[in-house]
Amino acid sequence: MWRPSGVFNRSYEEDRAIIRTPTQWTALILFLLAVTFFPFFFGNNYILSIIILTIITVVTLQGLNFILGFTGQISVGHSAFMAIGAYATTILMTRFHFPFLLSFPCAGLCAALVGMIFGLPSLRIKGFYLALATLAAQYLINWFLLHGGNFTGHLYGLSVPRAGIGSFVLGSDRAYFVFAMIILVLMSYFAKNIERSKVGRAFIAVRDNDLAAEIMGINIFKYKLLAFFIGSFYAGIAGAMWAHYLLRIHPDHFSLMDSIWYLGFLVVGGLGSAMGPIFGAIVYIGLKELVSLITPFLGGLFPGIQTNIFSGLALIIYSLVVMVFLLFEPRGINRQFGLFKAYYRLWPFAY
Amino acid sequence: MKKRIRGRWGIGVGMGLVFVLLTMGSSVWAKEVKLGVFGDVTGPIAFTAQQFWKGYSDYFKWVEKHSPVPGVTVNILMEDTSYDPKRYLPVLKKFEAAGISAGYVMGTNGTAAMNDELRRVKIPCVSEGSGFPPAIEPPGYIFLLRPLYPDVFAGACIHFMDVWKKAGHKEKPKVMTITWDTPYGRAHIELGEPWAAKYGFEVLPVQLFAGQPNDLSTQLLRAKSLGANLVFSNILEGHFAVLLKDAKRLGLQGKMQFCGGSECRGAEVVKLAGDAAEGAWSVNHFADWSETKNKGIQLGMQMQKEFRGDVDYQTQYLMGVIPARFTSEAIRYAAKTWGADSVNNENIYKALTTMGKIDMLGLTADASFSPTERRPFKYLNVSKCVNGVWVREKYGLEVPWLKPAAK
Repeated sequence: MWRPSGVFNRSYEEDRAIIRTPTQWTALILFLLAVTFFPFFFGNNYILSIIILTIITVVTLQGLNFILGFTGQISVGHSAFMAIGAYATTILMTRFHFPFLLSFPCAGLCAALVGMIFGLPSLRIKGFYLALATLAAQYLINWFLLHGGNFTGHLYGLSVPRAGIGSFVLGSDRAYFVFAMIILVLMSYFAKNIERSKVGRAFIAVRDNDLAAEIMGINIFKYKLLAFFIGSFYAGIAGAMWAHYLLRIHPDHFSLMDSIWYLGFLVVGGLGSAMGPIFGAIVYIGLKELVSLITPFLGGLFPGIQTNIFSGLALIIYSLVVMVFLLFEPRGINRQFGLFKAYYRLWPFAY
Repeated sequence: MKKRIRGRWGIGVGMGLVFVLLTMGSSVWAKEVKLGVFGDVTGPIAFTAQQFWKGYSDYFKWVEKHSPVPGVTVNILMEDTSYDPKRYLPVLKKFEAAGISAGYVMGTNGTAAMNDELRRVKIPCVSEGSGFPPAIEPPGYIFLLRPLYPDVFAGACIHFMDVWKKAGHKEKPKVMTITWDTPYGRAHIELGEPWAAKYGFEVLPVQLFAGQPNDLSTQLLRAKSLGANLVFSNILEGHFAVLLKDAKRLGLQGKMQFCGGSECRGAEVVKLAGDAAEGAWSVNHFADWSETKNKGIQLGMQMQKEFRGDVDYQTQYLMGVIPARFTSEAIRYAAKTWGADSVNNENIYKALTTMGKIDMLGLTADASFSPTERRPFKYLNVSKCVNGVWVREKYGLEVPWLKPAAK
């Protein structure tokens, strides 16, 4: 662990602490203050909605990071696990009259259980074959949701009740932003702690060499399934957040393409790191916004080629970004961030 | 001498000011009405949506130039929503912050994603997306530009049954849906197929395809093996062309009929499918380019010549003119009834629900909404591809307004 000169650990508690230096404490306090008061100074709902979508994507990518980044298993059904979370919270609230505070974690649990079922083949298969098994999850879950009759809203999806705690309803973007931020902080804290725990180290051992891990006494099957469980739990929570924000859900909101882009942008952010999903989500949502801003502009400039080229501009740009990172920085933005931090700590010295 | 020069300067500046005020006056003091377009100009329906956008924006340019609403200037904001459910909500927030008074939604995904939120923010939107019945039951802020897709499917069944009976058949005709696996493509199934079964059809299992297909043989062979008489597809021009080409290759033409909705008719189908398009038909809600005496078609040609230099006979261009006409007439009515300064979302909503008949220049049947109905008319057309041109086979086909279940 890199630490600035002069910071020593004198107890196990200090050694285990996530926040260690005064600078880190200051940054955290400033960040929390900014988060709390941000919506009151920037009342623009558009910006808030983009940030809320980014937060939901961060939680999604954090889940995928457990499966792919830490344990090295490919899942192309992550978006379907989100769908399970979204439908679970809606159905629990509307049909079984669960309060939001109960239905929300239950959504994560439902997704986790379903994810674990589709993770079962991971005992015998890995790599490309596991990807195909999770691809089946994507199609099966979407099919079930489309053809689940009244239970899943037929072809038209379901209307989702607003989230609320007691009599307080999260009716505005500001309220939802604060709620989403709290969830993000909790999920990030949990993710960071798992990474540093025995479980996290076991995940990494399985990823790096499952045979060696087994020889060391790690129960590979247990940890692979656990990775699916935790990863899908995160996806379910993200799905529930999405449902209560949009207030309408449909299987098409959770498509295969989304699952694939989640994989791509997790690579862009940095696999196997706590910060990677945050960077990945920011780049993904940022690019979406950027493309939607420039496309009509470019289309206006070159009306003759608008139809042919600009209609697929988003896909071209996303693919290019993922390819550039795979070629030149496969460890993602997180690695560059690490280099920057090291540089900043040593500054003005070169080494 | 100095005085004379100063005098000339004074006159010059004065005249300049008068000129500037005269030229800018109308826009400076006119009430600005902002409209938001949820443009799916990239993504899976990009080709169609770009034509919508051209027709929509050209019509407003034309209105501004030739027949402006007194005291009102229209400012159109367009955002790319990519037919992506995750894009609509942020864009709606953006438009809400910008203060739009009305909007235009280009697809069923948009209608479904924003239906509840539009009711909350009370912004009326005209929408191409007729594939989401919960938007009209109970009536909200989505105003459809045609009947629901299940109604269109019912229209196809009614027309086919007429032809079937006239040909002397006694047995039940068999109808099969081959369609795109999207909310738009599947939209007619849930309400439409039970209705078709009651109407006297044997309804065969639905055949779906995903993405942008280049071969639909599997679905067509299924239709052949089950003995389908009518294949209905709620798909776009490119998809329909693939379907027709494959049907020709498999020797199915003449053995069954192929019918699509409004988006299945157009120059692109003929361009892409060639001979295979012959005999295909479409149940649709607006005029063909071939109807050169139609006022709406003449206007479409005039607008294209004026703003684009030449006429491009893209069918969906006309579809873009229709929502612009609805919105523009509602703004005109609101300005006339409540005053130009009072043209806002509330009054445009009131106008749409109370103004009665909207003159559609022959582009569609006479349209009107009401406080309880969000479908503009009951009458559709049947067009058929004959010698590479879409011609109208039947005018004013009355369709049942199928009743969606209330929430």
